[in-house]
Amino acid sequence: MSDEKWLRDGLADAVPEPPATPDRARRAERLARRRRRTTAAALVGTVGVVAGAAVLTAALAGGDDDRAVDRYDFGAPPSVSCPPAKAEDGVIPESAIDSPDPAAPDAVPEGATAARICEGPGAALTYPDDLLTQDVATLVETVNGLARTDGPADVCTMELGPGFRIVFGYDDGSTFVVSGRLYGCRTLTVGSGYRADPETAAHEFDDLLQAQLGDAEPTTDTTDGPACTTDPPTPTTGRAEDLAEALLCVQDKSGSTASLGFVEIPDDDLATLVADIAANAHATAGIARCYREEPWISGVTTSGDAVMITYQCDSYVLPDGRAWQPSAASQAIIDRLGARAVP
Amino acid sequence: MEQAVMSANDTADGTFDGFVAARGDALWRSAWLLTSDRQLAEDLVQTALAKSWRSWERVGPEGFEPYVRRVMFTTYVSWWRRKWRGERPTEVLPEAGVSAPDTDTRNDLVSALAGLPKGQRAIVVLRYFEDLTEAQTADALGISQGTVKSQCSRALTALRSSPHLRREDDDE
Repeated sequence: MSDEKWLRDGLADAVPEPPATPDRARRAERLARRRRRTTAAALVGTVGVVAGAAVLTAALAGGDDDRAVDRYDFGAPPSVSCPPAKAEDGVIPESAIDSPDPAAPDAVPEGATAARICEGPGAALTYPDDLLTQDVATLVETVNGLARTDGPADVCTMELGPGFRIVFGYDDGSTFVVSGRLYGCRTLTVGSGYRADPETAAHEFDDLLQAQLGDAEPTTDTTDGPACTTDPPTPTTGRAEDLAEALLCVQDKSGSTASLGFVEIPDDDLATLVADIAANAHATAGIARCYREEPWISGVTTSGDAVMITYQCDSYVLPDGRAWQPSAASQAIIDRLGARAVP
Repeated sequence: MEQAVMSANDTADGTFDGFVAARGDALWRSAWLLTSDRQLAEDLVQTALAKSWRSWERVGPEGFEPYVRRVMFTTYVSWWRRKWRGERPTEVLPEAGVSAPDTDTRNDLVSALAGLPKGQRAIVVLRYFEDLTEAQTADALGISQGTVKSQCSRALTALRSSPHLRREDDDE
């Protein structure tokens, strides 16, 4: 028996009967609508942003009246506000709350009933303004479960990225702040000490907030289509692999807004680009940034999050900081569409 | 084995619901081979369908299955690139008993498949379960045909030497 026939037969025999899921389509549709509403993923994986990056604008920009949490009756969660954070040249400076406090406990106290994620030391980044009120104990457990460290290592990578602060609120009105840096030595300050893996804390907050927001059906379709903006493009926060529609944008050497051109990337071409990104984009220790007269991609994800993929020096850079060198097929698409998009 | 390519008539009524009813199980089978877990497979299918739902009108019934498949396989790759906790919120709890181990001794091939790198695993499923050509597999994964060929060869070599497998004709 040949290897291929043996494998075909074996795989066919191995697969069990699928479960009966008569509502699969409805569930997928609800999930799609939910994903569009839940744009809190703005904080996930946003590393590698260099100094000078403009403030990221999360698609979840609704005012207080639009906060999903306000549509629920959670029994008056405690008031939890963000510490002051004023960006200087796009960078949030460190303050005392970002360093260990010897007088504080070395773990997040139990009993928190609300939590909010806020800007922290590093590149400025706008986080979702929703208050987490569900499963806050899980977030506390996650943070307290991170490994203790001695603090920043002597030598760390030099890139600058965003930081964050998570403010835990308690029913007695008190708060407890942890401060994470998604760059450099990647430390999380918790009370009197440091913890490793701040990404886990940020991811957990994001997952819990998404779950909380996901309980609500969207009331309106707030998704805007992609748009080409002038230089410098606004950094964005969606995942490139989730692109649902996109434009290829070009700007001629005059650099004026009048010379901006764009063309919609057809579905087949977009699928090729997305697959190439999924297969070949790679993490970097840091991105060298310099403006080049190259086309860039502006799109939105299935969740409604904006995605901007710009060319920097020698590669395209994704919103999460990964670098992408287009395959020959992808480059051909960019070249072909770029020629059509010339202003 | 089910045909990987469908016609517009297969969607019954030309709707997204019809497509899912006609092809959802086939997608689930491939997803199961990728994940070796019934609930993760359903999550993967749901995620792929949710990501693709918005494009139904634009892509149309004829091209929707390759579109969803591409989304599903690239999602699979990205899932495993990110940390997967296996605790994502779901609307409906799994049926009783469905969480039983799927990779038991009755099928060592699945265990061997699970030992492959995710890229090779995806290629094996596309090539030998979905019966796609090398070109179609390359297109679905956004990689070159040469990569499909080389990775497929490595996957077959790995499967042949897997301690989970001892083919009957090895003894012949």
